[in-house]
Amino acid sequence: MNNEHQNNTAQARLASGLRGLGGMDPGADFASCVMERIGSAAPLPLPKRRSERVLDWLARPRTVRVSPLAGLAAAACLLLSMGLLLKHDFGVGSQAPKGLVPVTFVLAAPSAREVAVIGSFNDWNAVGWTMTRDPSRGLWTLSSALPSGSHEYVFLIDGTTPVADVTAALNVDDGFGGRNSVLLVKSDHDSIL
Amino acid sequence: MTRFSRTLLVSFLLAIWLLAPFTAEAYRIESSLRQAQEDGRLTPEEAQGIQARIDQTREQGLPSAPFAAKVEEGLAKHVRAQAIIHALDVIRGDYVFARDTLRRNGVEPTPDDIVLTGDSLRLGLTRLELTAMADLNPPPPMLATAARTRAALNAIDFPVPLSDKIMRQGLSLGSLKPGWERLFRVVQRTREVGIPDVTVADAAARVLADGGSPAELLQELGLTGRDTRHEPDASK
Repeated sequence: MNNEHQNNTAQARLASGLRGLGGMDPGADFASCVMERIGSAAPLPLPKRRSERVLDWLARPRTVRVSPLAGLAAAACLLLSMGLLLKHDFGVGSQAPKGLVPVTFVLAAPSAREVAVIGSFNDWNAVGWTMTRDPSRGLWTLSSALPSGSHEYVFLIDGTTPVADVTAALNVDDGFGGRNSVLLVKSDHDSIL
Repeated sequence: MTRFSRTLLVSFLLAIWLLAPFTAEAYRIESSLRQAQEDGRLTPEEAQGIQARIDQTREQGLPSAPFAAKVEEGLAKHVRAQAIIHALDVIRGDYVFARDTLRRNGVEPTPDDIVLTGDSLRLGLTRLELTAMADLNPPPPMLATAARTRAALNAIDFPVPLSDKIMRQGLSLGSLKPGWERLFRVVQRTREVGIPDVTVADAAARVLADGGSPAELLQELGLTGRDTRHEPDASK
Protein backbone atom coordinates (compact mmCIF):
# COMPACT_ATOMS: atom_id res chain seq x y z
CA MET A 1 0.00 0.00 0.00
CA ASN A 2 2.77 2.41 0.98
CA ASN A 3 4.84 1.52 -2.13
CA GLU A 4 1.91 2.19 -4.41
CA HIS A 5 1.48 5.60 -2.89
CA GLN A 6 5.19 6.40 -3.38
CA ASN A 7 5.03 5.29 -7.04
CA ASN A 8 2.04 7.49 -7.71
CA THR A 9 3.78 10.48 -6.15
CA ALA A 10 6.94 9.92 -8.24
CA GLN A 11 4.93 9.61 -11.45
CA ALA A 12 3.00 12.81 -10.69
CA ARG A 13 6.30 14.65 -10.04
CA LEU A 14 7.78 13.40 -13.33
CA ALA A 15 4.66 14.44 -15.31
CA SER A 16 4.76 17.88 -13.73
CA GLY A 17 8.46 18.30 -14.68
CA LEU A 18 7.80 17.27 -18.26
CA ARG A 19 4.93 19.72 -18.54
CA GLY A 20 7.29 22.47 -17.27
CA LEU A 21 9.66 21.93 -20.19
CA GLY A 22 7.14 23.53 -22.55
CA GLY A 23 7.11 23.00 -26.30
CA MET A 24 10.81 22.49 -27.10
CA ASP A 25 11.56 21.85 -30.78
CA PRO A 26 14.45 19.42 -31.41
CA GLY A 27 15.12 21.01 -34.77
CA ALA A 28 15.03 19.62 -38.31
CA ASP A 29 18.57 18.16 -38.21
CA PHE A 30 18.09 16.34 -34.93
CA ALA A 31 18.03 12.86 -36.49
CA SER A 32 21.07 13.49 -38.73
CA CYS A 33 23.05 14.87 -35.77
CA VAL A 34 22.31 11.80 -33.76
CA MET A 35 23.33 9.46 -36.61
CA GLU A 36 26.55 11.44 -37.14
CA ARG A 37 27.49 11.11 -33.51
CA ILE A 38 26.80 7.37 -33.63
CA GLY A 39 28.89 6.99 -36.78
CA SER A 40 31.87 8.83 -35.28
CA ALA A 41 31.85 6.75 -32.09
CA ALA A 42 34.48 3.98 -31.64
CA PRO A 43 33.17 0.59 -32.81
CA LEU A 44 31.98 -1.79 -30.13
CA PRO A 45 34.21 -4.85 -29.57
CA LEU A 46 33.07 -8.05 -31.31
CA PRO A 47 31.59 -10.74 -29.03
CA LYS A 48 34.16 -13.35 -27.94
CA ARG A 49 34.09 -16.85 -29.26
CA ARG A 50 32.76 -19.62 -27.04
CA SER A 51 36.21 -21.15 -26.44
CA GLU A 52 37.59 -17.78 -25.34
CA ARG A 53 34.68 -17.28 -22.97
CA VAL A 54 35.28 -20.73 -21.44
CA LEU A 55 38.99 -19.96 -21.08
CA ASP A 56 38.19 -16.65 -19.40
CA TRP A 57 35.79 -18.40 -17.04
CA LEU A 58 38.41 -20.98 -16.13
CA ALA A 59 41.20 -18.41 -15.67
CA ARG A 60 39.18 -15.97 -13.58
CA PRO A 61 39.88 -16.42 -9.87
CA ARG A 62 36.81 -17.08 -7.80
CA THR A 63 35.85 -18.08 -4.30
CA VAL A 64 34.32 -21.53 -3.90
CA ARG A 65 32.35 -22.16 -0.76
CA VAL A 66 32.16 -25.81 0.29
CA SER A 67 30.63 -27.19 3.44
CA PRO A 68 32.90 -29.44 5.56
CA LEU A 69 30.60 -32.38 4.83
CA ALA A 70 30.85 -31.91 1.08
CA GLY A 71 34.62 -31.51 1.38
CA LEU A 72 34.92 -34.75 3.32
CA ALA A 73 32.74 -36.56 0.80
CA ALA A 74 34.87 -35.28 -2.07
CA ALA A 75 38.08 -36.32 -0.29
CA ALA A 76 36.60 -39.75 0.41
CA CYS A 77 35.66 -40.22 -3.24
CA LEU A 78 39.14 -39.21 -4.31
CA LEU A 79 40.77 -41.62 -1.88
CA LEU A 80 38.40 -44.41 -2.88
CA SER A 81 39.21 -44.01 -6.54
CA MET A 82 42.93 -43.90 -5.78
CA GLY A 83 42.61 -47.05 -3.71
CA LEU A 84 40.79 -48.86 -6.48
CA LEU A 85 43.41 -47.70 -8.97
CA LEU A 86 46.21 -49.05 -6.79
CA LYS A 87 44.38 -52.33 -6.38
CA HIS A 88 44.03 -52.67 -10.13
CA ASP A 89 45.63 -55.85 -11.35
CA PHE A 90 48.26 -55.61 -14.05
CA GLY A 91 46.82 -57.88 -16.68
CA VAL A 92 47.71 -59.22 -20.03
CA GLY A 93 49.85 -57.12 -22.26
CA SER A 94 51.19 -54.97 -19.45
CA GLN A 95 54.91 -54.67 -19.15
CA ALA A 96 55.90 -56.64 -16.05
CA PRO A 97 56.36 -54.08 -13.25
CA LYS A 98 58.80 -54.72 -10.46
CA GLY A 99 57.72 -57.71 -8.38
CA LEU A 100 55.82 -59.40 -11.20
CA VAL A 101 57.23 -62.40 -13.02
CA PRO A 102 56.62 -63.16 -16.72
CA VAL A 103 54.54 -66.31 -17.20
CA THR A 104 53.36 -68.11 -20.35
CA PHE A 105 50.33 -70.40 -20.38
CA VAL A 106 50.13 -73.04 -23.10
CA LEU A 107 47.26 -75.41 -23.94
CA ALA A 108 46.88 -77.91 -26.76
CA ALA A 109 43.22 -77.75 -27.79
CA PRO A 110 42.97 -77.93 -31.59
CA SER A 111 39.16 -78.14 -31.69
CA ALA A 112 38.49 -75.23 -29.30
CA ARG A 113 36.96 -72.07 -30.73
CA GLU A 114 38.07 -69.83 -27.84
CA VAL A 115 40.21 -70.40 -24.76
CA ALA A 116 40.83 -68.11 -21.79
CA VAL A 117 42.82 -68.44 -18.58
CA ILE A 118 40.88 -67.83 -15.37
CA GLY A 119 42.40 -68.05 -11.92
CA SER A 120 42.99 -66.54 -8.52
CA PHE A 121 45.21 -63.89 -10.13
CA ASN A 122 42.39 -62.39 -12.25
CA ASP A 123 39.41 -63.00 -9.93
CA TRP A 124 38.36 -65.85 -12.22
CA ASN A 125 37.38 -63.31 -14.84
CA ALA A 126 38.14 -64.24 -18.43
CA VAL A 127 37.86 -60.68 -19.74
CA GLY A 128 41.26 -59.69 -21.13
CA TRP A 129 42.73 -63.16 -20.59
CA THR A 130 41.86 -64.78 -23.91
CA MET A 131 44.58 -67.00 -25.35
CA THR A 132 45.93 -66.72 -28.87
CA ARG A 133 45.79 -69.68 -31.20
CA ASP A 134 48.72 -70.94 -33.23
CA PRO A 135 46.86 -72.71 -36.09
CA SER A 136 49.89 -74.61 -37.33
CA ARG A 137 50.43 -76.41 -34.01
CA GLY A 138 46.92 -76.22 -32.51
CA LEU A 139 48.37 -74.56 -29.43
CA TRP A 140 46.80 -71.76 -27.45
CA THR A 141 49.21 -69.42 -25.66
CA LEU A 142 49.03 -66.42 -23.40
CA SER A 143 51.87 -64.43 -21.87
CA SER A 144 51.36 -62.31 -18.79
CA ALA A 145 53.08 -61.29 -15.55
CA LEU A 146 52.07 -62.48 -12.10
CA PRO A 147 53.22 -61.81 -8.54
CA SER A 148 55.31 -64.50 -6.91
CA GLY A 149 53.46 -67.08 -4.88
CA SER A 150 50.97 -69.87 -5.41
CA HIS A 151 48.10 -69.35 -7.88
CA GLU A 152 45.22 -71.64 -8.85
CA TYR A 153 43.88 -71.56 -12.39
CA VAL A 154 42.11 -73.46 -15.17
CA PHE A 155 41.61 -73.00 -18.89
CA LEU A 156 38.06 -72.02 -19.86
CA ILE A 157 37.25 -73.55 -23.23
CA ASP A 158 34.54 -71.93 -25.36
CA GLY A 159 33.39 -69.91 -22.36
CA THR A 160 31.81 -72.86 -20.58
CA THR A 161 34.17 -75.79 -20.01
CA PRO A 162 36.89 -75.50 -17.35
CA VAL A 163 39.92 -77.71 -17.95
CA ALA A 164 42.91 -78.17 -15.65
CA ASP A 165 46.44 -77.82 -17.01
CA VAL A 166 47.85 -81.34 -17.37
CA THR A 167 51.39 -79.95 -17.47
CA ALA A 168 51.05 -78.15 -14.11
CA ALA A 169 53.21 -79.27 -11.22
CA LEU A 170 50.11 -79.83 -9.11
CA ASN A 171 46.38 -80.24 -9.68
CA VAL A 172 44.08 -79.96 -6.67
CA ASP A 173 40.40 -80.29 -5.75
CA ASP A 174 38.52 -77.08 -6.56
CA GLY A 175 35.71 -77.71 -4.06
CA PHE A 176 33.12 -78.12 -6.84
CA GLY A 177 34.12 -81.62 -7.86
CA GLY A 178 36.63 -80.42 -10.46
CA ARG A 179 40.36 -79.75 -10.45
CA ASN A 180 42.41 -76.56 -10.35
CA SER A 181 46.01 -76.36 -11.48
CA VAL A 182 48.54 -74.80 -9.16
CA LEU A 183 51.14 -72.43 -10.51
CA LEU A 184 54.11 -71.58 -8.32
CA VAL A 185 55.59 -68.31 -9.46
CA LYS A 186 59.13 -67.85 -8.26
CA SER A 187 60.41 -64.58 -6.92
CA ASP A 188 63.82 -63.32 -8.02
CA HIS A 189 65.54 -64.40 -4.83
CA ASP A 190 64.33 -68.00 -4.81
CA SER A 191 64.62 -68.81 -8.47
CA ILE A 192 66.65 -71.91 -7.66
CA LEU A 193 63.56 -74.14 -7.79
CA MET B 1 40.82 -25.55 11.29
CA THR B 2 41.00 -26.60 14.92
CA ARG B 3 43.04 -29.52 16.11
CA PHE B 4 39.86 -31.46 16.85
CA SER B 5 38.56 -30.92 13.33
CA ARG B 6 41.90 -31.95 11.85
CA THR B 7 41.94 -35.13 13.92
CA LEU B 8 38.36 -35.86 12.91
CA LEU B 9 39.16 -35.32 9.25
CA VAL B 10 42.28 -37.51 9.33
CA SER B 11 40.43 -40.28 11.20
CA PHE B 12 37.60 -40.17 8.70
CA LEU B 13 39.93 -40.34 5.71
CA LEU B 14 41.91 -43.16 7.31
CA ALA B 15 38.72 -45.12 7.94
CA ILE B 16 37.64 -44.63 4.34
CA TRP B 17 41.07 -45.73 3.13
CA LEU B 18 40.98 -48.89 5.25
CA LEU B 19 37.42 -49.75 4.34
CA ALA B 20 37.81 -49.13 0.62
CA PRO B 21 38.99 -52.67 -0.28
CA PHE B 22 36.14 -54.27 1.67
CA THR B 23 33.61 -51.96 0.08
CA ALA B 24 35.01 -52.72 -3.36
CA GLU B 25 34.94 -56.46 -2.65
CA ALA B 26 31.35 -56.33 -1.38
CA TYR B 27 30.31 -54.33 -4.41
CA ARG B 28 32.06 -56.76 -6.76
CA ILE B 29 30.36 -59.82 -5.31
CA GLU B 30 26.95 -58.14 -5.30
CA SER B 31 27.49 -57.11 -8.89
CA SER B 32 28.50 -60.66 -9.89
CA LEU B 33 25.44 -62.15 -8.19
CA ARG B 34 23.15 -59.60 -9.85
CA GLN B 35 24.68 -60.33 -13.24
CA ALA B 36 24.26 -64.08 -12.71
CA GLN B 37 20.57 -63.52 -11.92
CA GLU B 38 20.14 -61.41 -15.04
CA ASP B 39 21.80 -64.16 -17.09
CA GLY B 40 19.38 -66.69 -15.60
CA ARG B 41 22.15 -68.68 -13.93
CA LEU B 42 20.93 -67.98 -10.38
CA THR B 43 17.47 -67.52 -8.92
CA PRO B 44 16.99 -64.66 -6.43
CA GLU B 45 16.77 -67.25 -3.63
CA GLU B 46 20.07 -68.85 -4.67
CA ALA B 47 21.78 -65.46 -4.87
CA GLN B 48 20.47 -64.63 -1.40
CA GLY B 49 21.76 -67.96 -0.10
CA ILE B 50 25.24 -67.23 -1.43
CA GLN B 51 25.20 -63.67 -0.11
CA ALA B 52 24.11 -64.96 3.31
CA ARG B 53 27.17 -67.26 3.42
CA ILE B 54 29.48 -64.34 2.63
CA ASP B 55 27.85 -62.22 5.34
CA GLN B 56 28.20 -65.10 7.79
CA THR B 57 31.97 -65.29 7.25
CA ARG B 58 32.28 -61.57 8.00
CA GLU B 59 30.25 -61.97 11.17
CA GLN B 60 32.54 -64.82 12.25
CA GLY B 61 35.60 -62.64 11.70
CA LEU B 62 36.99 -64.86 8.96
CA PRO B 63 38.83 -63.40 5.95
CA SER B 64 36.03 -62.92 3.41
CA ALA B 65 38.11 -62.43 0.24
CA PRO B 66 38.64 -66.18 -0.39
CA PHE B 67 34.89 -66.74 -0.10
CA ALA B 68 34.15 -64.00 -2.60
CA ALA B 69 36.82 -65.50 -4.88
CA LYS B 70 35.23 -68.94 -4.59
CA VAL B 71 31.87 -67.50 -5.66
CA GLU B 72 33.52 -65.79 -8.64
CA GLU B 73 35.25 -69.07 -9.49
CA GLY B 74 32.00 -71.04 -9.31
CA LEU B 75 30.12 -68.53 -11.45
CA ALA B 76 32.94 -68.45 -14.02
CA LYS B 77 32.91 -72.24 -14.22
CA HIS B 78 29.10 -72.31 -14.53
CA VAL B 79 28.80 -74.38 -11.38
CA ARG B 80 25.32 -74.97 -9.91
CA ALA B 81 24.33 -72.66 -7.05
CA GLN B 82 23.97 -75.54 -4.58
CA ALA B 83 27.55 -76.63 -5.34
CA ILE B 84 28.79 -73.07 -4.71
CA ILE B 85 26.91 -72.91 -1.41
CA HIS B 86 28.28 -76.31 -0.41
CA ALA B 87 31.84 -75.23 -1.27
CA LEU B 88 31.42 -72.06 0.82
CA ASP B 89 30.20 -74.10 3.79
CA VAL B 90 33.17 -76.47 3.48
CA ILE B 91 35.65 -73.58 3.31
CA ARG B 92 34.03 -71.91 6.32
CA GLY B 93 34.38 -75.13 8.30
CA ASP B 94 38.01 -75.46 7.25
CA TYR B 95 38.83 -71.85 8.13
CA VAL B 96 37.17 -72.06 11.54
CA PHE B 97 39.08 -75.25 12.29
CA ALA B 98 42.33 -73.71 11.00
CA ARG B 99 41.85 -70.56 13.09
CA ASP B 100 41.08 -72.51 16.25
CA THR B 101 44.10 -74.76 15.72
CA LEU B 102 46.43 -71.85 14.98
CA ARG B 103 45.24 -70.10 18.16
CA ARG B 104 46.16 -73.01 20.37
CA ASN B 105 49.47 -71.63 21.58
CA GLY B 106 47.81 -68.35 22.56
CA VAL B 107 48.99 -66.24 19.62
CA GLU B 108 46.32 -64.72 17.38
CA PRO B 109 46.91 -65.82 13.77
CA THR B 110 46.91 -63.35 10.89
CA PRO B 111 44.26 -63.63 8.15
CA ASP B 112 47.02 -64.86 5.80
CA ASP B 113 47.87 -67.69 8.19
CA ILE B 114 44.21 -68.70 8.42
CA VAL B 115 43.82 -68.69 4.63
CA LEU B 116 47.04 -70.64 4.05
CA THR B 117 46.12 -73.25 6.65
CA GLY B 118 42.43 -73.43 5.76
CA ASP B 119 43.18 -73.85 2.06
CA SER B 120 45.67 -76.60 2.92
CA LEU B 121 42.78 -78.63 4.33
CA ARG B 122 41.09 -78.37 0.93
CA LEU B 123 44.32 -79.22 -0.90
CA GLY B 124 44.83 -82.54 0.86
CA LEU B 125 45.90 -82.01 4.48
CA THR B 126 43.78 -83.89 7.02
CA ARG B 127 42.56 -82.28 10.23
CA LEU B 128 44.29 -85.03 12.18
CA GLU B 129 47.62 -84.15 10.57
CA LEU B 130 47.12 -80.45 11.30
CA THR B 131 46.28 -81.18 14.93
CA ALA B 132 49.35 -83.40 15.30
CA MET B 133 51.58 -80.64 13.97
CA ALA B 134 49.91 -78.05 16.23
CA ASP B 135 50.76 -80.28 19.21
CA LEU B 136 54.40 -79.27 18.68
CA ASN B 137 53.38 -75.67 19.51
CA PRO B 138 54.91 -73.85 16.56
CA PRO B 139 54.08 -70.17 16.03
CA PRO B 140 51.06 -69.65 13.70
CA PRO B 141 53.09 -68.62 10.59
CA MET B 142 55.28 -71.73 10.88
CA LEU B 143 52.28 -74.00 11.38
CA ALA B 144 50.68 -72.43 8.30
CA THR B 145 53.84 -73.13 6.30
CA ALA B 146 53.89 -76.71 7.57
CA ALA B 147 50.22 -77.14 6.65
CA ARG B 148 50.78 -76.01 3.06
CA THR B 149 54.01 -78.04 2.75
CA ARG B 150 52.34 -81.20 3.94
CA ALA B 151 49.19 -80.66 1.86
CA ALA B 152 51.32 -80.46 -1.29
CA LEU B 153 53.28 -83.58 -0.28
CA ASN B 154 49.99 -85.43 0.25
CA ALA B 155 48.80 -84.25 -3.16
CA ILE B 156 51.78 -85.94 -4.85
CA ASP B 157 51.40 -89.10 -2.71
CA PHE B 158 54.54 -88.62 -0.68
CA PRO B 159 54.55 -91.34 2.02
CA VAL B 160 52.85 -90.14 5.20
CA PRO B 161 55.52 -91.45 7.64
CA LEU B 162 58.21 -89.58 5.70
CA SER B 163 56.15 -86.36 5.77
CA ASP B 164 55.72 -86.88 9.52
CA LYS B 165 59.47 -87.12 9.96
CA ILE B 166 60.21 -83.95 7.98
CA MET B 167 57.47 -81.89 9.63
CA ARG B 168 58.42 -83.02 13.14
CA GLN B 169 62.03 -82.07 12.50
CA GLY B 170 61.21 -78.65 11.04
CA LEU B 171 58.61 -77.72 13.64
CA SER B 172 60.48 -78.92 16.70
CA LEU B 173 63.66 -77.12 15.61
CA GLY B 174 61.79 -74.05 14.38
CA SER B 175 63.49 -74.23 10.99
CA LEU B 176 60.46 -74.80 8.74
CA LYS B 177 60.47 -71.33 7.25
CA PRO B 178 58.50 -69.93 4.29
CA GLY B 179 59.93 -71.45 1.12
CA TRP B 180 59.57 -75.02 2.30
CA GLU B 181 56.11 -75.07 0.66
CA ARG B 182 58.11 -75.82 -2.48
CA LEU B 183 59.43 -79.09 -1.06
CA PHE B 184 57.02 -80.99 -3.30
CA ARG B 185 58.85 -79.55 -6.32
CA VAL B 186 62.09 -81.02 -4.98
CA VAL B 187 60.38 -84.39 -4.61
CA GLN B 188 59.03 -84.18 -8.16
CA ARG B 189 62.53 -83.50 -9.47
CA THR B 190 64.16 -86.24 -7.44
CA ARG B 191 61.54 -88.72 -8.63
CA GLU B 192 62.34 -87.75 -12.21
CA VAL B 193 65.96 -88.73 -11.71
CA GLY B 194 65.13 -91.86 -9.71
CA ILE B 195 66.05 -90.78 -6.19
CA PRO B 196 63.86 -92.64 -3.63
CA ASP B 197 61.50 -90.60 -1.43
CA VAL B 198 63.15 -91.96 1.72
CA THR B 199 66.48 -90.49 0.61
CA VAL B 200 64.82 -87.11 0.12
CA ALA B 201 63.20 -87.30 3.56
CA ASP B 202 66.52 -88.13 5.24
CA ALA B 203 68.27 -85.29 3.43
CA ALA B 204 65.43 -82.86 4.25
CA ALA B 205 65.71 -83.73 7.93
CA ARG B 206 69.46 -83.04 7.83
CA VAL B 207 69.00 -79.73 6.02
CA LEU B 208 66.29 -78.65 8.46
CA ALA B 209 68.60 -79.53 11.36
CA ASP B 210 71.10 -77.08 9.87
CA GLY B 211 68.40 -74.44 9.33
CA GLY B 212 68.68 -74.72 5.54
CA SER B 213 66.22 -74.19 2.68
CA PRO B 214 64.87 -76.37 -0.16
CA ALA B 215 67.58 -74.95 -2.40
CA GLU B 216 70.21 -76.37 -0.04
CA LEU B 217 68.29 -79.65 -0.04
CA LEU B 218 68.74 -79.84 -3.80
CA GLN B 219 72.46 -79.36 -3.38
CA GLU B 220 72.51 -81.95 -0.60
CA LEU B 221 70.91 -84.39 -3.04
CA GLY B 222 73.49 -83.61 -5.70
CA LEU B 223 71.10 -81.83 -8.05
CA THR B 224 71.83 -78.51 -9.68
CA GLY B 225 69.73 -75.60 -8.58
CA ARG B 226 68.59 -74.73 -12.07
CA ASP B 227 66.10 -76.82 -13.92
CA THR B 228 67.76 -77.06 -17.31
CA ARG B 229 64.68 -78.40 -19.06
CA HIS B 230 63.21 -74.92 -19.29
CA GLU B 231 64.41 -71.61 -20.61
CA PRO B 232 65.98 -69.29 -18.02
CA ASP B 233 62.81 -67.19 -17.86
CA ALA B 234 60.38 -70.07 -17.62
CA SER B 235 58.42 -69.90 -14.41
CA LYS B 236 57.02 -73.35 -14.08
